[in-house]
Amino acid sequence: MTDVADPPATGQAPRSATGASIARRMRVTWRAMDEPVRGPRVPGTVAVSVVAVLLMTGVSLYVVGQGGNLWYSDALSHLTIARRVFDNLSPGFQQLGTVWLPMPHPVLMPFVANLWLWSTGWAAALLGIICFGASTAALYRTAARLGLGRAGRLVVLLVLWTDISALYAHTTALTEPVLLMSITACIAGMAHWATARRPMSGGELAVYAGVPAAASVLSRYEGWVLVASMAVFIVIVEWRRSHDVRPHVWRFVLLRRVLPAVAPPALAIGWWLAYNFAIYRDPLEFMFGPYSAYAQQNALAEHGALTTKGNLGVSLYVYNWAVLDVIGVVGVVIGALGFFLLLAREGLTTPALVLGVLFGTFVFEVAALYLGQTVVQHAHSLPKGLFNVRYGLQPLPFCALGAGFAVHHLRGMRLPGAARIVPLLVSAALVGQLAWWAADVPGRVPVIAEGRANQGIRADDAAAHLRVHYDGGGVLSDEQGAGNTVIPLVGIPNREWYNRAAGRFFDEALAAPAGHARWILVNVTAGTGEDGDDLVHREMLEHPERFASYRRVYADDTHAIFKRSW
Amino acid sequence: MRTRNLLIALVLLLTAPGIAAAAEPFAPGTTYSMRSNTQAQDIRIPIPAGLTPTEVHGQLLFDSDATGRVEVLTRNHITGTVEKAADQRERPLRFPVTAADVEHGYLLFSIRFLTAGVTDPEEFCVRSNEGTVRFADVVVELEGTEEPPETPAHFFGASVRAIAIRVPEAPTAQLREAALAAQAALTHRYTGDTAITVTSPSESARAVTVRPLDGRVVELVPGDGEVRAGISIVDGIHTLTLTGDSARLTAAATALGSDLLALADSSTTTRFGATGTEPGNTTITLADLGRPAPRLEGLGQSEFSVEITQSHFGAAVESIDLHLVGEYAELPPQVSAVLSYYWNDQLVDSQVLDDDTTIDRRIKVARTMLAFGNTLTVRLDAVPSGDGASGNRSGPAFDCTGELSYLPIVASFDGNASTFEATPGQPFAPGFRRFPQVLGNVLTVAFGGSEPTAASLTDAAVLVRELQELNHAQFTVRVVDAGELLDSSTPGLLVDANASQVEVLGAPLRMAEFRAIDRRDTDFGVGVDRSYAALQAFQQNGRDLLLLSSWDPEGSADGARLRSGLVDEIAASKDGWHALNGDLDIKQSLTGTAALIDSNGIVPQPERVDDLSTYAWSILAFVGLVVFLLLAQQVSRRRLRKRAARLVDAQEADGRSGAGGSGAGGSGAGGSGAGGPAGRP
Repeated sequence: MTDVADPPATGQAPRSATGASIARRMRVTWRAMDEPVRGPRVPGTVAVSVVAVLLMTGVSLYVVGQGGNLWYSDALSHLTIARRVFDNLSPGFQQLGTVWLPMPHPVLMPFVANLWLWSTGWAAALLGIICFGASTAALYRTAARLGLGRAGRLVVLLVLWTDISALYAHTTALTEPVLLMSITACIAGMAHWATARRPMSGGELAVYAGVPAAASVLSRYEGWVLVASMAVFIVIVEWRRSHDVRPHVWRFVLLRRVLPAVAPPALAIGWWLAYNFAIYRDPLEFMFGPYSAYAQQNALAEHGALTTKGNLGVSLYVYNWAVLDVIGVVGVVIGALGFFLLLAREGLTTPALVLGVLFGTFVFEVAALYLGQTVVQHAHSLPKGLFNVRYGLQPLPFCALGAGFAVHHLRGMRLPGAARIVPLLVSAALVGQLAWWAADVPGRVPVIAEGRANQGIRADDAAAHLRVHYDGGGVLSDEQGAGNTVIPLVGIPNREWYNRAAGRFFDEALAAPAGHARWILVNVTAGTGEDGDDLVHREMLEHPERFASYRRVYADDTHAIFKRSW
Repeated sequence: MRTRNLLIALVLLLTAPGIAAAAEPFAPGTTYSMRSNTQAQDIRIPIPAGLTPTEVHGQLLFDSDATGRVEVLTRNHITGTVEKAADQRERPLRFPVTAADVEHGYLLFSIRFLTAGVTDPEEFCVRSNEGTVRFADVVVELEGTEEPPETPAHFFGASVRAIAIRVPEAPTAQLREAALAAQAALTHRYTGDTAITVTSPSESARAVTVRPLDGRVVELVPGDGEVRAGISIVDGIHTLTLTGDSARLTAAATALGSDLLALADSSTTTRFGATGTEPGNTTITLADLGRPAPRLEGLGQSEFSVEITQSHFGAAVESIDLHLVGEYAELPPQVSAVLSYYWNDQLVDSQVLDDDTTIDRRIKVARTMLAFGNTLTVRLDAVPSGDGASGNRSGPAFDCTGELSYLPIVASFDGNASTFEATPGQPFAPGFRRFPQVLGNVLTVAFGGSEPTAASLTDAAVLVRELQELNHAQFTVRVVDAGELLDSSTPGLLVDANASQVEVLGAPLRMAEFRAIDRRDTDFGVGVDRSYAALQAFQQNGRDLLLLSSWDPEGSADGARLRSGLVDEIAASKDGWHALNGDLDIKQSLTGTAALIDSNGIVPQPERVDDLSTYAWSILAFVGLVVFLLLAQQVSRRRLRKRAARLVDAQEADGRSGAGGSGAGGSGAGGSGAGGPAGRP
């Protein structure tokens, strides 16, 4: 009997060749990931980014499918702000407002231009996927440039990839994804500059570190402390390099290194102050305005409910628990261990300084709590609650890189098999922690539980009713009313809404509603002392004659929809 | 004066049990409820020994327009019938009973509500519930003479409705323990219909009123030696006196709740006592819950229910695995049937009955579905599915309004093989809902004040009663020193805790002024700066505690009275302990009602905030560790540099000596460094 092999089907040989080529390239990349970085390229960056994008796409498909990406009211507000810049009765850049720093909104704009992407939240999820891929790449490149081998680099990424709160945040329009991307990009730029064999120019430093820093200062105030930390880092590193080889070393350090690096963020801050002055006639409107965190926290502080203010112990306690809740015990403990091992084994070297810069965000958060500039509430705070728990995410890059160094140093122990066992144990612990979170998400992941709580007190049912029955004619609503931040859920363009963002159109519609809007959405508890202030509902109570032509078509415990009947 | 004494003596003579010629009517105080067209419901009413029931009367209350009749059955004979017209919502019911209807001290009869056309629900296809009837304001007419209890075995008859436990003034800790043990034992013996109090003479105003017919007094008297139980009539009331060494009185009091009390059948019993704690059990059968062979049958809808509390397992439970085993008869071809399983009215499983005839269901009840008290309901829905091959789906059988023309479906469960298997764990957040199951059948009580007051003992007894009512097993009561409870990790109850003890325990509400936060974070409640009492349930040191305490500002002393008012209000509440939710019950006014709030709804008091202030020192520890590590690294690096320098020097020396032709090799000056880093390439 003779076996005659079938000839390969057309195209099979090229496919096999392609497969072999891919496998070969993967092996090459895998090997390269364990080698020190010698030039501008960092082998493996593309590979880990692709994995991160695929992972985040899967997570987004699940979360968006559940509607979980739209649970946070803040996320809905960010989506609304991003779109109303170009889709509103009064469009323009003034729609960026001053409550939040502006950067997350312009980067969302290309995505929210599509009405479906906007109303389903996929716009934010797509941005989140990009941010997740970019943050992964930045962390990987930082780890590689700081001398970590493949095991250490992958553990760094695993800390990010197994953090369920971080994964969830990247599916939403919250500011965390853009902030994390800009901070990690800035750190990657700094690490590149500090470890490059060829001295980098001030211009390169400005591009690699300064521009991401500018993005971070316009994303969240954590970025501002990052810039300060970055400046100190540059001074120390450059002084060490140059103090015995250059004359006028301080002038060189400050003018040729620090100044180029901080110029972009300084310009960004300057633009923000100018914007505030131009729109609100007060450059510090964002800090002390009626909608600022300062104003909101003052009300709590007056009544003794802001227990962190002026109390360092409580501030530390509350923030440490937030970090543990969000990053997890495994990430925090191994991350801190790595930092301490780094200090003990290497002293204040460049890697330790980079971790120190990242630790600055932790210091900032504790300081903000101490100064009463922010509120974090969770199961361990006084009082308990669920508010801003996600702020515990900021030390994630610190913990991730720390964990990488922990693995790096522990692998070097004189124990048989440590090189293999340590990364496996750490990875297993991180994956185990993810499984533990996933087993009881509402009970164990306060970041997601906070979103659920947000959704529970919002007018989502009213929005669903409006989404189904809206037949044009405009909607009069006060988006500042409690639970009213549902505009994307209705899925109609912003220009259909007569709300505060519409400026004078809102005032005109309040004075003569029947002539402007066919529909009205109000919080009916507003004005009764039970809940926030809804200008439309107040107007309905004070001037019922203006609303005589409207009939109520929907009502629940807190919200009602009226439709003009003639 | 002499005439008045004679009058009192005459009244006592006429009212004292065993002496009176005619008995008062007895009202059990319970309302019985029955659904239409179901099996007759058995009713048991306790009858005092020596008395004979002659008649039962009360009101029937209907909640539907169904016409029909209510039938009373005694020993399976219809002894009373009341017709109901469509528009009638209330009808009197009166029927005769005899001594033959009394078994083991209980009058037994049953009642059923049949709608028009139904003669026996077992033989008729009946629709599901067509209304419910309640039998209320039930009164049993009695005749004869009550037999006075002469032994402890007969002292606590089924008809007892009030028991006053009395202790001398200023009781010792051992006597307080005995009193609380008696409270737990007797609460365990009786249902919530029997009022039981513990008082000393100065707190007698809070003692339950005891009547000769259905009241009893238990006196605990410290003495010497073994405990002796004696029965007498004091002021016309049957009184059981337990006398003996205080250390042994607790065991004697505990024995009052035991079934073995029936063995104490002489008028004076010595060595009276019981010890030991009923252990928890993670697996319970249907038979354990009183359903050895539950059975469902008939067309239409039939069901049975069992109630199971967390305390049945003697511990907090976070999930339960049900395993229900049974058989059902083969279905006639004209019948479709389904068994549905409900846990607390939520459908958890269902089974379409087919030719298999086996019931073997495993159902997981998750944490989110668990309450303290849970009800498993198994419902059989059986409907005619047509007339066999002809497909005739009309007629009285299909309409379920007539007599059955074929065998009804039957499903029965094996009560011994059907199990509830519990996974210990805690499904509830810290608060009142965790009690009593977290106690594990042992109730540790401590009194906070240096000299516990009479009111504190009565307060503690009220809480013991409320907790015992919910606990399946009888508590083992321990009274310990407050310091011992504070230092331990045992769950328990601390009564009359002082401010410093509240501080040490880190309770959610410290004994100081407080303000309430409106939950919406916009409005803030008025500050409380006057006396108040609080009952708190919280977690500390890994255990759950109940804390009863009060606070008085300067110039006020209402706290103690508010404390008593608070616990009495819980006892008087219709729902008792179940009425408590959250973790904080506060009473601020002697006339007003207590407020149940979540401790998180209170602006954090400075005392609580200060607890966390010390956390600031952790920053010093962190900075100190960083500095230490850096210094250690510097020292280590310096040593390495020195060793390296020595190595270089040695190599240079070797080079020089080699050049000089000595040929001394690598030893010599460099030898000392050879074992160190210099040994590495």
